[in-house]
Amino acid sequence: MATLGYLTDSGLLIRHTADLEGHEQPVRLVYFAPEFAVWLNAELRGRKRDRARDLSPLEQVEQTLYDFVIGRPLAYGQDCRKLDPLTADIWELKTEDVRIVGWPPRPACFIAVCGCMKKDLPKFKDYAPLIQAARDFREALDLDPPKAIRGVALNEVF
Amino acid sequence: MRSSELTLGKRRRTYVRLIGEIRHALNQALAEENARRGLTRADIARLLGKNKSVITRKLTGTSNMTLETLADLAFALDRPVKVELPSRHAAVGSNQTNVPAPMSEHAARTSIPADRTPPTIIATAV
Repeated sequence: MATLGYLTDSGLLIRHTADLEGHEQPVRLVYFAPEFAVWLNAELRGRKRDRARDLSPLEQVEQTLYDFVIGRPLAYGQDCRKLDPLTADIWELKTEDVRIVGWPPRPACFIAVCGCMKKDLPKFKDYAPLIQAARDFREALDLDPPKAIRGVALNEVF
Repeated sequence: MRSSELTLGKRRRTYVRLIGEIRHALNQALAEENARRGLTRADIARLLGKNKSVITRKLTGTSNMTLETLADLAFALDRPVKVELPSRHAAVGSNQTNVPAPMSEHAARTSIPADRTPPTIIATAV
């Protein structure tokens, strides 16, 4: 069993470093699964900004993670939500165009495992493959128990 | 790889932060006005003669934000808009770190440096 710091040192997780100003401090932490980091750079970086949007998908993710890290209030449903089935303890962080699926292993902490463009979600917004990917990654990760926060209320989780 | 940054470039990051600041300030102001006097997105839509979905799209970023839209939303919230461009240079005696080197004279004369602190948008209660 290992801590988040040990798993980061081992390369099994990647700590996201938000681009903060000198006077800003991280209030929450974000870790990436290595596959998620690859997806961001290989897939999302090339996506163009929709004409109806101010930001490109990658910029949306960058700003959303920045908001998360500096501790801005999250609105359940608008910015994040726990995915069904709730017993899987898998959450999504949402931008206008991107869905980031992962889980909170500790309060004020999120491990991002996979991402998907909202428009590329399977029919009827079926999250099952994404939830399964996040569960498989969590199961394989030798993280100290409990591996996930069970709560649904935002103030218990983030 | 132990850490990952989503590098955007300082110039573009300034814009991204501005959009984030505007959205945050508007949603925060709406939450406060909702708690204070029950103002809702539907009320804002009525005040501006727009559909509620238009207001939702503006507040969630699924539609472009313009200065006119920002002003309209501030009007509906009954709040003035304040724009600040605070210096990154720390005041004497402050604990601020990560202060950039001063701009060259030429840069100061000819451009707004891209590594300046992003602007802050504040919707203040009257």
